[in-house]
Amino acid sequence: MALITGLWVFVVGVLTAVLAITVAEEIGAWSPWVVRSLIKFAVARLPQSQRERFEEEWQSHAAEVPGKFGKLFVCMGFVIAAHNMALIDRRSQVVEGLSRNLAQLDESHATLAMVVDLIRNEPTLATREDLSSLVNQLSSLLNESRQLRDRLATRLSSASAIPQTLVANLLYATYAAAIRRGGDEMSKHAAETNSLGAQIVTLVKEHTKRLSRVRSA
Amino acid sequence: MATNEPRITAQTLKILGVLLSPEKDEMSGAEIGRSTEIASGTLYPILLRLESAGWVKSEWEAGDPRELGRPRRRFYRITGIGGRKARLAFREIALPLKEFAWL
Repeated sequence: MALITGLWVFVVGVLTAVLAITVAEEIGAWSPWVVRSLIKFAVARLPQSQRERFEEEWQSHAAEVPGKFGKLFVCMGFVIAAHNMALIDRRSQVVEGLSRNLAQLDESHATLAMVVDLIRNEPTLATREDLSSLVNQLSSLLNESRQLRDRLATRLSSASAIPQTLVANLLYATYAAAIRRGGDEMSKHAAETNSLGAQIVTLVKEHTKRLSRVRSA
Repeated sequence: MATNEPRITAQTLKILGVLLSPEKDEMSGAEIGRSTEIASGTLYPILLRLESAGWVKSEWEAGDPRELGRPRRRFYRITGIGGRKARLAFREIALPLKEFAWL
């Protein structure tokens, strides 16, 4: 009885060893393909401008790592790295885009505020009721717009202060949505102010033409 | 507003320390990972942030992959500004520790 049990243990042991060797050989044979596939999968998460560089760089890094499991472990790291790098890139694009929008808005506000002042200080224009009403509307819109712009700038500043960790970058997505909504609101306001500004410019041009005809007559 | 300065973490300091080392002018990502024992998932986002901030620059090794028989390595080296910022960061950490010099 003991002999039969012993024989079974021996046979199971040999079979297990053979299976382990076969599995290890299979993993070894498939390993280069898995490494290449993991790197391609990781690189596909990156922004287009970074893909070619990191595909080659990460292939080279994996080649320097000894052992098949070491290479697989490092490649799984590349997938995590690529996710984080993509979030960082998206984040900096949101921040840069909005910073540019805010700068453009500041310029447009300054120009429109100058137009409002010029019209109010020009006696022949300041007395015109139709123009005066539009100028008042524009002035009120400009004030609202400046308040919106300041709120957006504060939100952007707070969002930029969020640390650049993987978890924080994932949470940043919520802030980014709020910033984008603020940006959309600003665009609507900018469209209204521009439209009013255009109406004012048309009226001023007409008034100037009439004035020059009267003077030449 | 947004700052381009990378956040100084323990891992960032390890990487900067290794790149400041006089033993080697430049190192590949794999070499940096081995020296600092930082996993690839953490290493490359830090290297990219350091590169964006201008503290580190990278370039491909000379040679054609076909001639080398392997993919080209990308070597990283610390820049002048990176070196100054790194030494400042190390000094800031070392200053409070001087109070405990008696330990």
